Order: sequence, then C-alpha cells, then structure tokens
Amino acid sequence: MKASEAHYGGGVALFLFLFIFLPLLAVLVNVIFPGLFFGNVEWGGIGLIGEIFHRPLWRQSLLNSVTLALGAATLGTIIGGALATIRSRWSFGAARLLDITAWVLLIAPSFMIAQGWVLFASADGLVHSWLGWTWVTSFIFQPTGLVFVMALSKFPLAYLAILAATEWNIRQFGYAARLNGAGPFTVWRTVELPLAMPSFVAGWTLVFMDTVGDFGLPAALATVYRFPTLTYSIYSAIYQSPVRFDMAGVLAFYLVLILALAMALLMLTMRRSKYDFLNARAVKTVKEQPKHAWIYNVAIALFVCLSLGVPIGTSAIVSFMRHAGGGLRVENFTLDHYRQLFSYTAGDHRLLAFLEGMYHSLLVAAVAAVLSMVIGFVVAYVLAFTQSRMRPMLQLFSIISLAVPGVVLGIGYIFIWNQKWLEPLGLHLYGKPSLLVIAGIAGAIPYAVRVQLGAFGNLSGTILKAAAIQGASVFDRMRDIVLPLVRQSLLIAGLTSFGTSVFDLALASMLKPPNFSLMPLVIDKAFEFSNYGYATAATVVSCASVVLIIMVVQAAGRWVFGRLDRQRQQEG
Amino acid sequence: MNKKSVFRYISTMMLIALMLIVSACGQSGGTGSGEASQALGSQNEAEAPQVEAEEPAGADGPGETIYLYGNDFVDVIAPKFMEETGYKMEAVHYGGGEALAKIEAEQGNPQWDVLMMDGHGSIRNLGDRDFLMTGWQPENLANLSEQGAAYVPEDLAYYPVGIHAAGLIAYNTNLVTAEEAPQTWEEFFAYEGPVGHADPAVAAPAYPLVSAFFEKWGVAEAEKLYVNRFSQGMKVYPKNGPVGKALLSGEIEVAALQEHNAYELKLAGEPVEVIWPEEGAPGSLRVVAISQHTRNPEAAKAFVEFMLKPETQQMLASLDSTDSFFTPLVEGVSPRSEREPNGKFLLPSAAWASEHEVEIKTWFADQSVK
Repeated sequence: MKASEAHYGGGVALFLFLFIFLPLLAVLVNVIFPGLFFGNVEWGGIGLIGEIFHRPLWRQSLLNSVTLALGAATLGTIIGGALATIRSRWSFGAARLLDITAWVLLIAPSFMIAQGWVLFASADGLVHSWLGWTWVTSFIFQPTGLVFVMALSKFPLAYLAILAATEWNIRQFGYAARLNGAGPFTVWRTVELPLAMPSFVAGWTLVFMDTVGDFGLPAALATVYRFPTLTYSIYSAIYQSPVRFDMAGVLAFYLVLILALAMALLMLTMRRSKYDFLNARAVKTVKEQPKHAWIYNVAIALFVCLSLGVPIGTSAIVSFMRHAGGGLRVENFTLDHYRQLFSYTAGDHRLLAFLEGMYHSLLVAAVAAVLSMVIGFVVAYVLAFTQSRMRPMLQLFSIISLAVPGVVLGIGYIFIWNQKWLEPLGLHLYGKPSLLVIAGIAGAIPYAVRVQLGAFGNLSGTILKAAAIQGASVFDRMRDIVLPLVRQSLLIAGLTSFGTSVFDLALASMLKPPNFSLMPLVIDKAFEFSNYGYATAATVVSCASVVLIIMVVQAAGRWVFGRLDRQRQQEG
Repeated sequence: MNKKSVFRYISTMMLIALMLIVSACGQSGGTGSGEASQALGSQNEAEAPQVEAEEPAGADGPGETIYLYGNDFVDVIAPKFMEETGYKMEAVHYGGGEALAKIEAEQGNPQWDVLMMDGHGSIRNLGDRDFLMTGWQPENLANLSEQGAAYVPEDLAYYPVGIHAAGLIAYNTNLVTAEEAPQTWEEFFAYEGPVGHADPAVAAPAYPLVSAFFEKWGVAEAEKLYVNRFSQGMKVYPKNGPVGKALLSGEIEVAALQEHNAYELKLAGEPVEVIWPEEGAPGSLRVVAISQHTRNPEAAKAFVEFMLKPETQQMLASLDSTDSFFTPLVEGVSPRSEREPNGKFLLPSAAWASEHEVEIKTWFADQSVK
C-alpha cells in the first residue's frame, strides 16, 4: 500500500520534473554550457553573467523591468489597499462592481489590456481623435505612464490579498493600546500596521512578480513605443537577429533571480509575522453604512471606468469602427469586422483566420485543462494525504511555473524538445501541437494543484485510512472517496486551467508549429499589421466565447452532479 | 519494492502519460506536420486547387514536403510552385529577423529546406557557417541579367532573384514641402525634425538599409551620423508597416521607407511623396538558398529553377499588390511602370555585409534604447 502511493508520488514528480523543471534547468545550464543543446559541449564560463551590465540594451531592459515592477507594485498596493480598506469598512452599492472588475482584470490576458490602452492613448488613438487630448499620449508612453497602466491592471492581486486579511476586526487591540495612553499615530504604528503588514507585503510581492514576468505589455507596445523589459529582451534575443541563446539564458537567469528574491521576501514576512490575533474574542469586521454612500459609488464607478472601461471599452468600440481614427460619426460605425471574422479563411500572412485559430486554441486549452486537472488531482492527493518522500519536490515543481514566465519556459522547451535523437523515438515534439498542450499543462498546474489542495483541506484523512484498512487501493480511494467529495472544485480547477492557457501569447508565439494559427496570435498579428478592427473584434468574440464556455460547463457540471446524487439516493 | 522496479514503474507511467498527450493531440489532426499541412491545405485550396502531380515530379514522385521560410510572396508562391512542378511545398511566413532566429534555433535539427529573403549579407553569413548547400549550378542561372549575374556568389551558396530599395526617402506632404524635403541621404541625416525607419533586428530589409549607410560612410563615421540623428529625433519601428503609419500620423515627418510601403501609400492617395536619391537607394537583394540538410534536395532545386524562370518573375512583378515593386534579375522581365526606371542601388558586398552584421545590429539595438 505504501509502495503504490510511492508510485503515484514518483510518477507525478517525474512528470512535473520533465515538463516544468527540466526546461527551466536547461535555460540556466545553457548559460554555462552554450551550445550544449546543439550538440557541442563547451565550457562557456560564468563571465557571460556580467555582460548584462555592459550592453546598453540589456542593462536598460533590467532597469526597465525593475523600475516598472517596483513602481507598479507600489502604486498597485496603494490602490489595492485603499480600495480594500474602503470595501471592508463600508457597505455601498458599487462594492460588487469593484469585485467583478478585480476578477475580470485578473483573468484577462495582459496583452489585451495593453492593446486596449494603446488603442486609447496612442497618437492616432481614440482619446486623440475624439477629444483631441494630446497630453494623454505623452503621459502614457513614458515610464511613469506605463507604471500607471500596469498598476491599474495588476492592482487586483493586491486588492484581493489585502481584502482577505480584513475579514476580522482587530480594533480591540487598538482600544487596549489607547487605554494605555497611546496616541492615534502610535496605535497605527505599533498595532494596526504590524498586523496589516503581511497582507500588504503579500499584495506588493504578487503585483511585483506578475509585473516583472509580464510579456503582454511590452509586446503590445512594441509597434508604438520602445520599452524593452527583461521578458521582451529574452524574446528578442531568441526571435530577433542577431540570435543570442546564451544571453537569453542569462537574462532569464536574472529574471528568475529577481522572482526568487521577491518570493523569499514574501516567505520571510509571512514567517516573521505570526501573530495569533484570532482568539475567542475575535469578531468579524462589520460593514457600516456610510453617510454619503453616493460619494463612494461615484468614486468607485469612476475608478472602474478608468481601470477596466478604458482598455476593454476601447477595444469594444474600435471593433465597431470602420477606421480607428475616423472619429465619432454614424457612418464610421460598422459590423464589417465581425462579418470578416466569420467569413475569412486565411491566405494572407498578415491576417490569420479567426475561426481556425479559435478552434486550435480552444482544443489545445481543453486538452491541457483536462490533463492538468487529472495531474493536479494526483499531485494534490499525494501532497495532502500521503507521506511520499517526493512531497517537497512536488511542492516546488507545482509552484515554479507560476513564477517562471512563459518566455523562459518557451526557450527551455525548444532546447529540450528539438533534439535530433528524439526523432526516431517519436518524441521530437518541437513544432508539434502537443508541445503547446504540454506548455499549457505546465502553466495550469499551479492553479490546478492550489484549487484542489484547498478542497482537500476540508477532507479528513481518517476516512481514507479506514478505507485503506478495508483493502481499498490508492486508485479506489481516489475514485470512490476523494473524487465525489471534491468534484466541484476539480471542475473549477479544470476551468481555471482552460482559462489561463487559452490566451497565452508568449508560449504560442514561441512554440507554434509552422502555419499553425492560435487565438492570441490571430489578435497579435492583426494588431501588428494595424488591422485594429479585426484584432479587437477577435478579442471581443474570443473573450465572450471563453466566458460562455466556462459558464456553460460549470452549469452542466452542476446539473450532472445533481443528477448523479439523486440517482445514488434512489438506488440507496 | 526495490529501487529498480520503482524506476521501471515510473518510466512506464511516464510513457503512458506521454502517449496520452501525444495521442490527445493526435485527435486534433495527426502529427504536427500533418496538422500544419492540413491547416495550410485549406488555405491553398482557397487560392489554387491542389494539382495531383500531372507531370511526375522527379523520378521518385514528389517526395517529402519541403518547407520554405520566407518574408515575401509566401502566400502566392507555394501554390504556383506545386501547380507547376507537382512537388509539395509548405511556405511559412517569417519576418527577416524571425526567420534567421528560427534557423539558428533549429540548427541542431533544421526543419527548413529552402529560404527566400531580403539581405544577402545575412545569407552569406549562414553560408560561411555551413548552413547552406553550395556548389550546385541551376540550369536557369543562365537566365540572369547582367546585373543579376554579378550578384551570384562564387560558391553558389545562394541565388539572387530580385532587388528593390530597402529604403527610399518618403515624406509627409502635409508637414514638409518639396523644397524642405531631403533629397540625399546626407540631408536625411541632417533633417531638422523627427525621422524614422525600421529595426534591423526585426525587419528583413532594414539591415540592408543600415548596412548600406555603414558601408557608404565607413563604420565610425556612420555611427557618428546615427548618434547625431538619434539626438535630433529618430524613431525606430519594428517593421516598415508601422513606419508608414507613423509617417501618416505625423509622429515622424520623413522616413527611410521600404520601396513597397512607400509606393503603396503614395498610390493609395495618402499625403506621401517618394524620392529616389540620385546617389542611389540602399538595395535589398532578395535571394534563394537551399539548406544543407534538406530532406528533399530534388524539390528544393526545382524551386530554385522555378524562381529563376522568366515566367515566374513576370508573374511576381505583375502581382496586384505592391510586393511586385522590385527589379527582376532575369532577362526579359518588365518591372512595374510606376517605379523609378533608372533608380540606382547602394549595395555593400555580401562579404562586407556578412562580416559586420552582428556588430552593426548589436550597436544599433543598443543605440536605439538610449
């Protein structure tokens, strides 16, 4: 029985090692042994690591990435913190709107958000042609402006982290301090701040990490404004001339280093701030009715218009416009782009066929979702209920692709899966759609594992032990006990995986087989060649379809599970 | 359970998992190449029905599908080639930098057979590093004009098929009068106002453009001119499309714009005027080369012969799009009448362009972030 648990633990650990950790390792090894993956082993030394400080482009990329991430994390935490505080103290109508906005921004792929901002603010964008405000263009397309855009699209991470921590009322400790003679500032400094600190640090780090690893923004900006970041320079070291795989590895090394530092900071604050403030007298924060609720409603509505309305609204409007710069006239509105979307069947490399790309992307994402659901289930099972020696490794492998950006994994996949000796084995996966599926799984695993671990937390291990004593195998225990109890969250894990992999621009552009179109590429290419109407119509339709699919599958799941339960009751 | 059997168990698990994945993708259309050709198949059907090799292609039939990496004509050339010869070809479009990068990435295991792109310097570089088939003389090489024959390298690593201007001086007539517009490249570099061109790291014709300036003035002097140009206002866009757009929006007033894009704007009635400097325009030589590791040399050679035929060149030079703006290098083919008939070209030698490629591109990329 122990041995069979070890099989599962070892199996998934090896799987995750091969498909998540090995590619990352390959990228780092390539720094020291350039050419290793092209069949010649030579010691490159570690001198290359210093070269980043000599070449202006790479130095600038490092600097841009760090300043952008620091700025966005700080501003994003301020915005998220303020909103979370307001949201937890007072009850007002627009609060739900704020939550929805946060979730939409969290899920929406960043290249779409960035494209929305470009269409809004660029020299021939909406704000220029409709309102004639040239200052918006000069404000957005400079480092501070980008920090602003990034903070507005990544603040939900901080908002949700901080909001989760405000659930419990801690004012009692403040009262105690005041009774002992502390002034309001001292109370804030010595009681409230230290208690709230971990959630703020967590929020800050999450925004920081997400921004540093972001590829969508620099990619969407590339046609209008030069702002090389580490992720974009990794991409250009591999996909532009002259090609520097070794330097891509070095840049990836720095990226991973920065992410590791951020993560270490997160862990450290978490560990240092173990205050057991939840005791028997703990009370939940009770929301108050504000005196002038309309002020909050208007302020939140304005904020939502800015953070979500500008990027998504601009895309939606442009998709109905004949010419993006054509102004606000009735003749300029049309459904042509949508008509073209559904009637067009490739033939021009500038305009990829939408339906084909959509079909491929949905298929790849669906296969990746189902597989990552299954793998995530086994990983979570091993982590939660077994004593497998693989557990620490599984922990690491299952979180790593959350921190490692798609561009880095992308080169790793090319190194590993484009080797000649794999061809006779049928494992030459580079240039095949299966590699996209594997990459999709790698990206989805952290979510799949976390969601299911959460559900497993509510399950007592004793039931499983009882079953094991009765002679049920690991597989039986999974199928008959755990699965029925957690199937709802299993479904959610699957849908989350689906949602994350369907729009992955970085992996799609690096790993796609020749002439294989995918949804994010259809949008990106159309955008690159200034077919804004087509690009935005594709954005609108594909987002709507993905949301619809997720809703339908969820509803269908609920219906099927309900039926199964009734059936079982009748049988019983 | 001992260690050995655990290992065996794990490997079996792995294989099952892999097979699952591969077969799951199989559902989506067989193996990768099958899927890709299927995808393209539907694309080709729209343009030209696939002909079932009426003329037998070579002694052993069409053989394996060859892959063409290219940055021009990719949408039309493969169907025409397949129709005429019966060989199977899949044409993949890449930007210039992208195609070179792809070739580098695949050097351990090349996936391409034929390459057709702008910039003989980069191709020369590949030839010097043994990426290309050399020493084979196509029959149709004799069709080349005198100008074309002069571009053929001694080792026959690539074959020239056309030349066009990598950059002409294009200006926005709403912002610049004909008198103010720069007439020479020196005036372009000295122009007071924002100018721009495409990025040599990304766009295929942009390295020929930049390298022509570097050869014309010498590396040190050209660097000085560019530093000065950047400080006076110079924007670099990834490709020529965005350069044209920036020219229209007024973000830049004058551009060194690739021939196709410049004439496209002018013929569409946009406020753009085009100047072909008397001293010459940086030339972008379009060449075809065969991979040393091609899986189907017969088909790859047939493609080179096909590209050197007057009929093919005339067909390309008469296309309805501005892609047809180039100087055909085969005798007896007439170019588009809208072009400057006697335009001269500035073209560095392949060896020079190849030798300085990495240096110039790197310098340029670093310069444009400052």
